[in-house]
Amino acid sequence: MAAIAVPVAPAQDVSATLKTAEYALGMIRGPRRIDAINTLEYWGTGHIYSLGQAYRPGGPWPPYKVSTRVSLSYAVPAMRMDFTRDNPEGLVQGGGLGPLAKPERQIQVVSGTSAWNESTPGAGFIPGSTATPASGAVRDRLLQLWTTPFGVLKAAEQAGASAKVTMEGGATVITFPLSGKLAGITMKATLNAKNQVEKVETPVDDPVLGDIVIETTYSDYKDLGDITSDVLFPSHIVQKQGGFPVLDLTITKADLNNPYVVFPVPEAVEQAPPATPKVEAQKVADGVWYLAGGTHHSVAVEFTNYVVLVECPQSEERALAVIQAVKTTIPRKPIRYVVNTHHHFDHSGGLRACVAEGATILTHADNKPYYEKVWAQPHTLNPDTLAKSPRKPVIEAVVDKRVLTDGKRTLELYHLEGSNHATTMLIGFLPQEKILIEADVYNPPPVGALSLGLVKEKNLYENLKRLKLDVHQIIPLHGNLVTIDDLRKAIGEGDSR
Amino acid sequence: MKRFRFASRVLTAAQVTLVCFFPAQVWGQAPSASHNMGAHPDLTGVWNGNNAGGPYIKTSDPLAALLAARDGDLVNFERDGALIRRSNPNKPLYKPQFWEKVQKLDQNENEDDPSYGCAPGGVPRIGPPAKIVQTPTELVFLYVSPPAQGWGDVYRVIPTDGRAHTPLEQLDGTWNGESIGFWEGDTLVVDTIGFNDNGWLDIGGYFHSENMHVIERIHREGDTLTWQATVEDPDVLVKPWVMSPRVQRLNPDPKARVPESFPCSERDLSHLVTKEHH
Repeated sequence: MAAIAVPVAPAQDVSATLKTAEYALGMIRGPRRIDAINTLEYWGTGHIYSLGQAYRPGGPWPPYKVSTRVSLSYAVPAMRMDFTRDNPEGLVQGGGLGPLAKPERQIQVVSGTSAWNESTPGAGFIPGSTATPASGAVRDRLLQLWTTPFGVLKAAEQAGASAKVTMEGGATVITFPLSGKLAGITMKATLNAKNQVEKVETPVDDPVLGDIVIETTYSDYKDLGDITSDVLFPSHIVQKQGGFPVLDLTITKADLNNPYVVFPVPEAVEQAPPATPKVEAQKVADGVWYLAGGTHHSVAVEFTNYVVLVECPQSEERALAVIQAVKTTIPRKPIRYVVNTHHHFDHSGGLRACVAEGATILTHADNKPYYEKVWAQPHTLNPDTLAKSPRKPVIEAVVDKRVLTDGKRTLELYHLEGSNHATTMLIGFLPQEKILIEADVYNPPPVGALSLGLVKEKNLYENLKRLKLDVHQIIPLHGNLVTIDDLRKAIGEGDSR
Repeated sequence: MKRFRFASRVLTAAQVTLVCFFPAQVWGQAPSASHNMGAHPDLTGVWNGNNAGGPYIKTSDPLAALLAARDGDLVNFERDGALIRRSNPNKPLYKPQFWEKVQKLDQNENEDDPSYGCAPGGVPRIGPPAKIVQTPTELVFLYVSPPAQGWGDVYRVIPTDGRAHTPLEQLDGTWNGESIGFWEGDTLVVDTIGFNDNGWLDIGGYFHSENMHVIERIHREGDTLTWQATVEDPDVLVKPWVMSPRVQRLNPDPKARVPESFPCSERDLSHLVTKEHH
């Protein structure tokens, strides 16, 4: 049951509440009583979970072991999250590019209004290194920065008179709007009995789940530095999204003494054009089009009176670009069906746009109740086309097999049995063209890395043999066009036919 | 050799006039003597009147008890001072391969900071002078060491007669380098090369190479002197570092003297039990 919010303090007490919390963390220092926290670093180990990559629809996000080093500056503002994921226990069921064949390092940076990924810290300023623009991640990364305990209090100070203090369940709660790139987001911070930031809640939009709350809890505050600073930092951080953990980190060390950390923006990142969805239609066979151009591809299959689109991935923005590409490539035919290969958010994030387009969604039977539930959730924070023009989704369930045909062309859909990637995985097969359409279970290198023990690729191959599919060409929804011989070579197999 | 690389950018006297209209911040360009003519502001004086002070320590701060890590005792001058000084967002941008080195030097400041072992502060760390004596052809800068640093009494003699730098390869690197001065309008520009690589630019592990080039700008506005230095060091920095300006006030006492610096007492490192900064 929700606690009743009772305002206890007039607006002028917000400042006193913030000061009290800032003292409690050791932020206010020196004879002039100034906020002395600018930069910090912390190191931690624990688990990171892949949001939207559950093994079963509605299940928890799959876990990976993680070790991380986070550097940040509130003055810039900037943050570098350098983390290494691994699955040392073996197979991980679900997505998130796992199971990983080897530890995977990612370095994600945001600085001011730029975001990018580094091949090594300082990439772009080191010969041979790579800094890849990630402009779409600026908001998410800045939000992580301002969600940190010091960041919350600084952001609340910035909100000035817009910040409010209430009591909820006996705890002091500060609510305030964010500004700049994060305008439109309201943050809520709950203090514990020692006036330390205990919980931060931030409502955000998710393309699949609609309005969700990012909930971050901080506990067991300590001075974790090698050099005593009297600044306290939580030794345990847990973050949840969509009701399940996305991060559970034990902080092993923190440098809270304003260490030297810098975040120069590489020229290639500064000059990168804004990221807009690019769709390139490539004819694979008569009536079969590969809609690539990004990280997640789609396939358009032309029938006599309509088009079947395999995959509306990622987001509404991507989906609308794909829909437009279909209309340009195959004019005057409606998209009657959209095949959803599985429920992972990067493959289902554009489905609502396809529903709004009037398409019938073909997906595994287990996904139907899940989509019906989550698509009914409100999308008020960033209303998409379906929220603005609501219509009841038409979802047709596929159990083991479904055949679409107009007498001239046939597209067969099969359930992929025994996949450790997702329980709801579908593959498409065009028998006349001998073309297989698959997502995530074979991402041909160099674009994608093969999975640990080749479990996904071998499972795909076993299913092709079980179903006796005579495949020549493979259209992967990540990567590039390949042949069945490429798959055989990858898994060290002989002839499957 | 590193020094040779920088030497190729330092110009001879004959070349100076060719570049006199370019700003001194540009990598490796030498200053011009052409502005060093006519009437200039008189910088002569004792510039130690900067004790502006502020709202100093109140022992009865009602929020003091909230600093949990300190059992209610708000006052810890050194710990707070170290934290506050490092919070300055204006940091030199080192090449990424040196980021860890800077961090390690900073962490081990008690052992690695040359000032902690009674070494000179050096240019630009010594900051603005405490006294300036100005003649038509040279300036003399006199420095008083902050009590905590023990840099001793330092002087610099800076010619403003239009000469160029000695070729770098002929200079023995020193803590203060070789300086020449010239005027850009009403601003005195002091251009310095020929350093050793022993000094730091500031606390925080900000080391430099012997190819460092420092451009100090000193501007007088009434009884206020603003000093700002730009550090060029392409061996270790991604781009020049413009240090935060420092403002000195003229001591109005015509009999004001420059006090003698406190003597340096070398710290006994073996007795240090923490890495806590000072």
